[in-house]
Amino acid sequence: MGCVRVLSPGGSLGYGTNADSLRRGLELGLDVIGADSGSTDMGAYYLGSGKAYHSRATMKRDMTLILEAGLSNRLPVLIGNAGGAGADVHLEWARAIIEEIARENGMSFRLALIRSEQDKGYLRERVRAGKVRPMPGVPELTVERIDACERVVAQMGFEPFIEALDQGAQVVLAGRACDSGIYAAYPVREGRDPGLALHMGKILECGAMSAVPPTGRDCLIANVDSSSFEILAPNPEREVTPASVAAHMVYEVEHPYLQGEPTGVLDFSEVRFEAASDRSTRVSGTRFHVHDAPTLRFEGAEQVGFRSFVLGGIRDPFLIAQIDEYIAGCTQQTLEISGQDGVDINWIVYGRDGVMGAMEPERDRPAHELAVLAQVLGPTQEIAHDVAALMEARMIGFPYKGARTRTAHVAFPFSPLVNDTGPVYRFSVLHIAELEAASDLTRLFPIEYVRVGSAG
Amino acid sequence: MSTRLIDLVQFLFSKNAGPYLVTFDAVFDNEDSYRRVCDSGVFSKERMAALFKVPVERILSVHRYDAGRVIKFTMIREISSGDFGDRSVFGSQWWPPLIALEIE
Repeated sequence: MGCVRVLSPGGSLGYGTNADSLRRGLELGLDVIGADSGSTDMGAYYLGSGKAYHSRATMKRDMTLILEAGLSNRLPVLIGNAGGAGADVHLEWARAIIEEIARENGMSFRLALIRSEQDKGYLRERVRAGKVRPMPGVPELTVERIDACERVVAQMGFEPFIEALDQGAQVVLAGRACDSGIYAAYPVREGRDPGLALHMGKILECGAMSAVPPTGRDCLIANVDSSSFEILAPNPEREVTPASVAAHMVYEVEHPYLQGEPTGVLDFSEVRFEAASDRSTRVSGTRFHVHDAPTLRFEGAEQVGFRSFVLGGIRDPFLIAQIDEYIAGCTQQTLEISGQDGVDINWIVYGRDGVMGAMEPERDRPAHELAVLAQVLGPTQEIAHDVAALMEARMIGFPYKGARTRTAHVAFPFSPLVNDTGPVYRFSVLHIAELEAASDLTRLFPIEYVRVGSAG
Repeated sequence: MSTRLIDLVQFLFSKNAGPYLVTFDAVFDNEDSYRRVCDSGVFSKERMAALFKVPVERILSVHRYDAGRVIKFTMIREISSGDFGDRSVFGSQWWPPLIALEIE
């Protein structure tokens, strides 16, 4: 059994792929290009609003690079988490970019589009059947919370990607997907061990984060054989060491060696990391404990209101000394005058505890300058804006004790003074559902096949 | 003689582990320092809760991973990533209180 050679162009397609590393990867020889293009990491705004996370121009640049690399070398190109959040609107955003690239570059290929946005009925039924559990730290799921979500997606495993490859797709564009599955699909289809392939995917999904020096903005390659895989960086300025790969296994996960996948749990407790060359590392010993019933993670974004904010700087030492009284006074007057119910006001004081809030151990250290961010959450953008405008007026002129200055207590950096950021969302669904049938691993992710570019 | 944690580690960082959790990692580049910090027992749920002034129930887990020489603990966020009132969408920049942790 020969090696299956997989390239990842970086931790997130659309951040700016390193074209030199991609070229070097192609020179080394590849079988498939996999690209993860999203996450829940940026918060629920993108899933809720339907907006794409990345810049369109950079996404077009990165997609052009990997499509050219794939098509001119007859390599399948698998892209997952289209548009960042992977709902239908994001998939269409990415599809339009791919079609534009094909048109402008005279490319022609069979494209598979895999949808991950879910009808809420399936998840409601799973909740009623008692087959849904929250991720740690997340409240129990109710039907009301599902119904309140703008959109719900499920994270597909490698199964729909394999189905698309079986149907002759040269390029696969998928909605929300487990990062690992994007990279594991091709090796699994070629007969490699699913646990080993998923483990490899866990490493490739972050680009060169597991290399030295680490970065998510560079390419990484895996050569997968029957019982192990080798990780290497095509960029000669990076090396992949046993220590760097091992340390990466715990990155942005709660458990260091047990990680859930749709069909089982990856177990890294017996994994060996050995130098394969002076620049690459061989990984073996991954175990995979198969679930009795397969599961999928569902994600849903619920709108909680609209935000407006005022940002200002304070240098006056007399005001800094009584900043808490100033904030309380401005807030109280604003609420009194506005008469609005259902408005939430939140302050962040940079220079004191802006990053850490109540967790800040050095909150009482004297500051010579503060930034205050007053944000208002309202049921409509207009209400949020009006209340923030009232707050701005209070911030200018609040009569604090012992003032040695006149009005305009705050240095505002912007005109307009009140800025609207639009709707705010939260992940009300972040839950694992046990599936009704194993066939749901593909049935919930319908695939559309289209011929892109000129016929031929 | 006690030493500050920052003088024994290669990296300290905090990062989301999903939108409702933040995980804190101490990564070591040598076995002696890693063992010393493991043996010191400072990475307990109680110590981390006290250091970050959060109820101990919000410290979900403390783990070590010998193969990677990593000690990590995971905190349940007060406000999920990007929700109104959140201060760090990626969960970054919350690790600095670990710098001066005294290790025997």
